[in-house]
Amino acid sequence: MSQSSNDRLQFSINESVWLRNDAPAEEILSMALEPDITVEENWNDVTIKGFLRLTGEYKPAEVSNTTGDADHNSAPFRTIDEIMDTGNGTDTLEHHFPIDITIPADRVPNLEDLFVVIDSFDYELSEHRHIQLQADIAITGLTNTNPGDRTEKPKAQAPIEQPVAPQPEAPKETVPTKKPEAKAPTKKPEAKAPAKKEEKPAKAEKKAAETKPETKKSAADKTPSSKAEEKPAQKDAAKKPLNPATKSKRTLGDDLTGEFEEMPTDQLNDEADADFQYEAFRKPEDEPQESGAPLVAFKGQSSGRSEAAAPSAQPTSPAPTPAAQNEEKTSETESAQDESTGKEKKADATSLFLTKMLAGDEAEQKTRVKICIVQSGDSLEKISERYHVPVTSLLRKNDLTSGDIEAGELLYIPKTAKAAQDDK
Amino acid sequence: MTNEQGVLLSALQANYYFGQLRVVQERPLLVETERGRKKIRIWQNEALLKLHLKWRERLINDDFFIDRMYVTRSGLPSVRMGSLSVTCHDAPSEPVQLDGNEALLATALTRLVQYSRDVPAEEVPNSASVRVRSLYEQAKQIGFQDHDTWKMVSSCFSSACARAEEADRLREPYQNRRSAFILPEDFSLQSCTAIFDTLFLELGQSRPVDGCRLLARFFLAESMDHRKQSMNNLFQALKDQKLFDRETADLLQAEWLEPGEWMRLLESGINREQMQSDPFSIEEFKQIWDQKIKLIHLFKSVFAQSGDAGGGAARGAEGQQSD
Repeated sequence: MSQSSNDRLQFSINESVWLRNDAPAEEILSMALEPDITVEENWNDVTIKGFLRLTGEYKPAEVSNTTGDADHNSAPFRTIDEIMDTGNGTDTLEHHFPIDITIPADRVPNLEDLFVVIDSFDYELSEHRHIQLQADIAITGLTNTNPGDRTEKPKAQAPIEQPVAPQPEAPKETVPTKKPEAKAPTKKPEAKAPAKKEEKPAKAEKKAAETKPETKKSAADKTPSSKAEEKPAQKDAAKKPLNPATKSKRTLGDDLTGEFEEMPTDQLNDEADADFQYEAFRKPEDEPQESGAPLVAFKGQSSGRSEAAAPSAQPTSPAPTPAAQNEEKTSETESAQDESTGKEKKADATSLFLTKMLAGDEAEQKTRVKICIVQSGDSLEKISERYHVPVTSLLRKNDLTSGDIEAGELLYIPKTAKAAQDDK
Repeated sequence: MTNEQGVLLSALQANYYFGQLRVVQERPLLVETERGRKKIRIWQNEALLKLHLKWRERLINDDFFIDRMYVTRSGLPSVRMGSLSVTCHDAPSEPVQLDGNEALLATALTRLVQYSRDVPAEEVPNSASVRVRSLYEQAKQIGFQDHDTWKMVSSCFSSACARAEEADRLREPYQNRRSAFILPEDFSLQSCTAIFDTLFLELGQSRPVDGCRLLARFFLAESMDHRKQSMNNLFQALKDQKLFDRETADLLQAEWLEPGEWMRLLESGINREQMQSDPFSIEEFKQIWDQKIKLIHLFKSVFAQSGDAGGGAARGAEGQQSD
């Protein structure tokens, strides 16, 4: 369950992880949950990706020798990713819960203010192996617009962190998050929650004889998950994708300097700023019919046509982002579908909850793009600063896997309509 | 089986020591024999056949098989069938991947660059910068309707000019050479096959053309298909073989610098205006443009370390007939 208030979206998660059968715990000594995420700004949305990292230390329990059958040798459900022996009679554990949240760009006024904060965190060990986690998580730095005006947007990516359907009247309730196993895109989020619920009683019956209450500690005071502590960590995490960029090879830049005439970046930008743009949202019916030309990634804005009414081209980039792939649906189309398809709507509403909660006016999400030719000595960071665009956006827009850019390359510079207006 | 094919197989059986012959593919003609799969080449141009035979002889070496072929029972390289000639070659089916075979391929390429030399069959093209400018002027006169393509083309015009001028400058000293590196027109990695670690390089039946142009395209195509490390390994292996003299290095870089993809995008736009279809998307253009830039940088980073490329001992504008 989640709640959007002022500048933050809050939701709770209840998760269970299991220690392996051969590594049970007598007592948990400490446990922490901290976000390790990257924030990527795309054409129309901001994607929070990464994981919640669960770390902890526990006192191992005696391993029962009676476990001979296969069922006992492997944990029935999600097991802890990594367990290490500290050599001091304790073991440490680490587990990652994937996060993939897409937020419409207009809901994020400033990327620097966007944080994922663990407001509270609690855990409970039962049956020596079953660790139940409960956490209140908040996304901060969002603008608060009227939810009634919001338009549902297509699902940006399959493995999105999936809160359940919204219940706005409840201030804060538990939201089962997407489980790591659910990365398979075919798995419906709705199917996960009941499955999880069924697992618990089954497990309880199986281990009823062994069950005894285990240590329960409120971790809020001993984990670095408070908002104040998370912010710096969050900043670091958000900057992680920048690292490759700082390693970009510049060894040949000087070589080319003497051999190439400097390329007029400014001239390009001036031209591109006005009309060399790409509008990410396109209504299928607006697709130009009169031209037999193949669709191209850039669509110039016709003079005399308003930006809102102008048809835009579908991107034909070799590897379009999932968001772009799904942007063919317009808000109008989806509204009609909402009225006509009850069950489907429910499923969509559930799986797209965060996006729906945060979606803004379609017109504001139209994205423009410029192009620049990389100059000798340029790096992604420099270009990022020059155009006030996050490095992550440059990476994504240009399908770059690293910050390696060379003088002479062409770079798409994404630019939101909002930013363009600000520039004016 | 057609009548002609039957006659051909009979001729093969009569002229080569094959007990069994079975056609497994018609184009190109592949036959299965008790000695393995063979490729049968039919030559209509006797002069081209002689050129290829001579070419092949120059390239024969101990490191790899070049167009491995069989002589007839009478010791001749081909079977005469009316106005046609027929040759028979080994046809290994295992393709060679660049990854892991960089050294093997470097050896073959080195051999080719050193010994595959002859009078260039093609006419020297106009200066790249002249072509860039004239195409641009032509497009301006036509009046592009495709706004996106035109924006991209015009945005990159000055850069394309700079690249074209640099390409012209690099080519200039080698314009009047009597001998040049040549390769068959259809040369690619598909020309290479292998049995275990033995490389089979196919000369094929194509006419010889400027080898540097083809080699540059070969590197470009492979760099787009393979990871950077693999290309780095290949360049490193070529460097170890001391392949690239100044001429080869200059001409390779000139090929990458020449903004052919920009001209193609422009021509594509012009043709679209004239209702001729030659689809070439902006994305394709950008991909090639960027890859060429990366390739030039990689090439320089490998070969400039010891001044092997672009500054080493020149073979000279005349080129060198190594055989």
